[in-house]
Amino acid sequence: MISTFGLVKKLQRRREIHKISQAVASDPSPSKIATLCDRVTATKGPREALEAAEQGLRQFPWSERLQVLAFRLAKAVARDEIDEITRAIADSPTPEAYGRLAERFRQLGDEDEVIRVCRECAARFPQNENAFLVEGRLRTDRYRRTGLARDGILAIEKLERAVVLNEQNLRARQLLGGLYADIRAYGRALPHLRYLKMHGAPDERLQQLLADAEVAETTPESSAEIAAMFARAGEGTTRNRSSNDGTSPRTPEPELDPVLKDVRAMSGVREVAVTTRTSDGPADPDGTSLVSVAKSIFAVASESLVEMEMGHLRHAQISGPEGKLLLFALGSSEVSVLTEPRAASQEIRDRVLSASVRGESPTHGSEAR
Amino acid sequence: MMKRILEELNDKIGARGSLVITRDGIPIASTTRAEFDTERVAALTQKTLAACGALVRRLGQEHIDRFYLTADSGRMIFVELESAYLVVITRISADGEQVMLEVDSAARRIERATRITV
Repeated sequence: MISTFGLVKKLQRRREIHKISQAVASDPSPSKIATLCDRVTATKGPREALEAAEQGLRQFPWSERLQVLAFRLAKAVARDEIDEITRAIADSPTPEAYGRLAERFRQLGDEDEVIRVCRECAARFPQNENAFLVEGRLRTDRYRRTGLARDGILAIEKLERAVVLNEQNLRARQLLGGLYADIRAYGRALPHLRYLKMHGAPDERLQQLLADAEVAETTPESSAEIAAMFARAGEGTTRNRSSNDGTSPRTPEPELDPVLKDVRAMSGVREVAVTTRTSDGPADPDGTSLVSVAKSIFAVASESLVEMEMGHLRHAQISGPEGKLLLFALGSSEVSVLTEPRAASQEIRDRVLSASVRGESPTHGSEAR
Repeated sequence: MMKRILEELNDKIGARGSLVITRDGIPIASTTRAEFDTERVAALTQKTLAACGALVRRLGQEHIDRFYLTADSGRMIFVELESAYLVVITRISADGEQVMLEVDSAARRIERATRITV
């Protein structure tokens, strides 16, 4: 009797999920997708619900409700797996298990735990490159996000160690090649990029970096030079040097996205600038351009938020009697808008975000009125 | 008195925490959840505000009176008071307009309370 009742309940829930799924398919909205995720969590568990939430986020990338839901579900999934892997490590530790544990913490955004796990793994298995690779990758991401020289230097240290332990580790070489090229340390980048060309299948970007490095023809930079290059790059003053003469930007700055042109034309907007997270926009030795200031604010604020375990910066607004500064992280781009004090920031925010909702990545550029 | 205002603010907007800190990052009053270390939040706030204040001066903005940060898992709001800062940490799903109304109201009440105390 109980099992029959249970079966009926199960069928009812399935029917309910089917009904909501159909409603989502015919007329999707963040609210319907969130309801579907709740039902799926109750019947099938958080893993399946996370898939539904992620699908929803592809349709509504700026829905805060879905973002929060996906974050919560990802946490629930990762926590279950963390408990499982931790038990497995206690019984029989392996570098692979540590690698999986670090990866789960990375998904949770718990960078301190990732580093702790990597260090524990490196202490137990010093001849295995996995822990060095994971920490190197984390530091690389963090360096690109915040521009902090310390992370760049530590990323290089860990990744070089991974390559020493296993010279065939293509991922470590790929990260090293990209990171060295970011700071224009072409002498160091070249052997990794050449190795990738010989042994892997370098993507278009790596092929371009290899071409840049071969044109530069420099000798490998010393550790002191690398540290200095990271420090300069972090100050936001050197990343636009060309590969050879140090004067022209490496990539041309194209026109603004049409949506952002509309933003610039809005009442009270003084200037709009767009750049990618890994570039600095136009050369600006004094650091007084909107792009330079915005990048530095992104770095400072991001660092504080990560330290407070609040995740990464998505939007910032600074208001004062002289005006407002609005900053947005849109995919791999950063958009900055400088306005008059009375400009309608909510309207500007909606207009900027619509560039992302339409699925168009804003291109680079900067224009003042 | 200040703590009561912060508690009421947290209740009204479901904030994860709020605190008042001096310009040099010393907490005066706070009501934060256990997950936040008040001293650390205060120190990071002071560091962030000082650095960002210096940066926006390069754009000709001499003064910051409000600063919002939206991150993956929450929002931080900084409001300048007469001789301190009010810092509020909210959930990302909180209603932005209502939050700002309540934060402004709390800021005014704290300023009044401070004047009387001084």
